[in-house]
Order: sequence, then C-alpha cells, then structure tokens
Amino acid sequence: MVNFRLAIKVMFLLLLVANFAVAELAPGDEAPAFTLTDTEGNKHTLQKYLDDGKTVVVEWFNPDCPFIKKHHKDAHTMDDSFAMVSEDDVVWLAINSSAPGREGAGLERNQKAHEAYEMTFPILMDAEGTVGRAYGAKTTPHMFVITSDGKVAYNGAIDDNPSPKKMGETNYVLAALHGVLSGEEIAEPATRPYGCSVKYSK
Amino acid sequence: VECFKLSYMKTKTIILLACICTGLALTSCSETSDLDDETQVRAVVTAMQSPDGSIALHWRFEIADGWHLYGPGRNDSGFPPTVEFELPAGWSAGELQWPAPVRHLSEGDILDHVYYRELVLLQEIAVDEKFEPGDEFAIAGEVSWLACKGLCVPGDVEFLVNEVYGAKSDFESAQVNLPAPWDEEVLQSRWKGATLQVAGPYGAKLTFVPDNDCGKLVNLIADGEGTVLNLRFRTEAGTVGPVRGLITIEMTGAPRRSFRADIPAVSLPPKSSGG
Repeated sequence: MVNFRLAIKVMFLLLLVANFAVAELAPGDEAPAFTLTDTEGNKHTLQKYLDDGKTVVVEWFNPDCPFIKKHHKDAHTMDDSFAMVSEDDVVWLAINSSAPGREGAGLERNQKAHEAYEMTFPILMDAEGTVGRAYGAKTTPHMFVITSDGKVAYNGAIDDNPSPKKMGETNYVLAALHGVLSGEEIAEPATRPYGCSVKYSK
Repeated sequence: VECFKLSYMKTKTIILLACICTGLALTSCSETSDLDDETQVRAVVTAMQSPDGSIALHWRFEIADGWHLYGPGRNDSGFPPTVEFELPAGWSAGELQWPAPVRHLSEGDILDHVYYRELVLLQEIAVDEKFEPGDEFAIAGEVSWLACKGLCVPGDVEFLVNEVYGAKSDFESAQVNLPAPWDEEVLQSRWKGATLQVAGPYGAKLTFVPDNDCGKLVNLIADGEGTVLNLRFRTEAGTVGPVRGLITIEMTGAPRRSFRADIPAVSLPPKSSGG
C-alpha cells in the first residue's frame, strides 16, 4: 500500500513537472522573480525595479539570431521603442539564455554585440536558462511587459511581421506599454512570438 | 542543355539555380551536391504548362545535412520559405502546396515542424486568358527562407522563369507527397468532451501537425504523436476546435502518408451544476 501511494505521489509530481515544463505565462500572471548580471557586471533584480514603481520590458536576446539582427542592426526597433518610453518609468532589459557553446552565448560576444548594436539598455546573462524557462521564453526576440505590481501585461512578439528581414506595421510592445501607462485596456495582451529558438542548455 | 546560376549571394550561403533545360537536364543541375554549413540551401525552380493552360512551378529546396527548413503551420520558432512574385498583368499565384513536415523538439520545449534534406513545393500560376502556349512570358520574384542547425541563417534570392522546362515526373512525384483529403477508411476520429481522439491503422505512429488557425491545444508536445492521438483542446466560449492541420501516418515498411484534417469547432454541453 505504501509503495502504491508513493507511486501515485511520484506520478502526480511528474505530471506537475510535465505541466510546468510547458506552462506559458498568461497576461495577469505573476512575473517570475529574477536577479541576473549584465555584460558589465551589474546586477539587476526584477523586484527592485518593481519596488521603484517601474514598468519592466523583458526581451529575450541572442546577438547572432537573424531576427535579433533585424531589430538591433538592420533597424533599431527595440532601442527606438525604449527611447519613446524611457522617461515614463520604463526599464528595458535584454536577457540572453543561450547555453555555453551555443549560438550567441558568452560574455565577450554579448559585450561586443552591445557595442556594435549601440544598445541603450543592458544585456543580462542567463546561461543556465533558468529565467528563460521560468518565463517560457521560446524565441529571440520574445517580449514580456511587466507592470509595476509584478503582473505580466503582455507576452509575445515585438511586432506583426514574423519575417527575419521585413518590419512589422504594429509594434505590440509599444501598444501594450501605452495601455499600461495610460490605464487603458491592452487590445492584444498575448501574441505568438516569432524568431530563432532560444538556445537552452540540454 | 543550359544551366545557369541566377544569383550567388556574397555570403555564399545561398544559391538559386534556374535550369533552362528539359527533362533530365534538371537532374544534372541538382546533382551538384556541395551543400555544407557554409552553403546550407539550394533552391531550384522549374516550370511546366498544365493542360488547363496554367503554369505549375516546382520548387525544390536541397538542404545540407543537419540543417532544416520550417513548415508553414504552427511552430514555436522559425519562418517558412516564402515566394513573392512579379507577374504579368492578369496573372496570379496560387498558394504554395506543402508536404507534411516532421516534428522537431528543442531544449526548452520548443516544438517546430520542419523539413530535412529536401523540400519540394508546388504552386499554380493562373495566366491571363489571352496567354497561349509558346507565348513569351516572365515570372520573376524573390524566394526567401530560414535555415537552422543550432544557429539560423536567412536566405533570399531573386529568380526569373521565362520558359516551361520541367520534367513531368518531378511534378507527379511531388504531387504524391502532398497531403490527401481526410479518409475515414484510414483515420477515425471522435470527440470525447474537449478531446479529439484519432485512431489510424493498427500499430501506426500518428502525428498531428496543426495549422496556424487550429484551435488552441492544451499540450501539443505530449498529445501530438502516438499510436492513438488524444488531442486535448482548450475550451473557448463553450466551444472547442476547429481542428485544422495534418495527420501523418508512419508504419514500418510503408511510405509516410499524410491527411488533411479540417474538423469544425464543436459546442460542448454546459456542465451540470451538480446536486
């Protein structure tokens, strides 16, 4: 009987793990906490930003992904978007969850990319992929907007053109930020992210 | 026989060969297999006049070992090949016709549906009614794709087709690989609440490849393959579905087959309040 109960508990735990592994953050969900270090050695703690009343934009990043190059090199979608809201208590953080040895990984590579792409916000390193998995980040870029009370306000793509080269017409993140900052309802709080797969560790 | 290279990008990642030739010459063009991590994809387009006067295009993407191209359906990442045309006035391009891709699961529960080694697409070009066989024409445009193998490399190149020169057998074999309409003698399905059960031939491995406009699934990674599929759908406004996509069937010793699923959304009876 004890073994049977143990087996049931193990099965239940496995089911929980299986469900957790594919869980997606829905708008209104609590944003997972994190503390990560950027390419300059500075620590960034989500909760600290929230305590300061900031709205936080999180962008999954990989400097060698064509979709990231589209938005950081061919155009400056992310930095231009940040510039439009940077005076509104908005913090923009790029997070790189590439595992060591995989595309776009490594401190040096990301330091160079930060300079080459003239980025105006930090790249946080998440080589173990812990934060990426907690957020269910699938692609680079994959965007999240987090309200100052720690809730996910937006989860999805940066814009409405999933091509690696062509730009979209609707910037979903700016639209979500407008909603958060103005108190208006966000028309599309969740969209399908597009880009390269996040290069997680095995 | 005349084969010529239309374009060769400076990155040396992409080659588009247009083979202005007939019959076997296409094969000789495509046999120059020198693809590797530097040159991941080669695209060859050939054309054939259909009996109804329209022009059929045959797109063949040769893919280097270990690399993949993306399918057109629901993927967590990537981007499927696309073709943009410049067509004569009065002409129009039909949808690309795709064979069934295969599942590709990456770390982080990232599920894509992709093609390895080769992808062949067919496409109909409707012509102006005044167009007669033998008339001069020019179908131009740009084909784009994203090839991935750990890293991803986009490719795009311009093309020009101005003669019909395809081998009929290539078109016929591509046609055979396209998904067939749903066949109840092969696949049986029934709703059990919000779950669609799909059964196929005994012992066969089934895979579900959803379209982008398929209803939301609870867990495609867990439910999307097996000898019997139990596709759990999310209930939205009291309905589940629609079920749109492909069911593929794999059996030992038999070629892989695929069937198109297009099952309308169904309403679920309201849950009783209990007593």
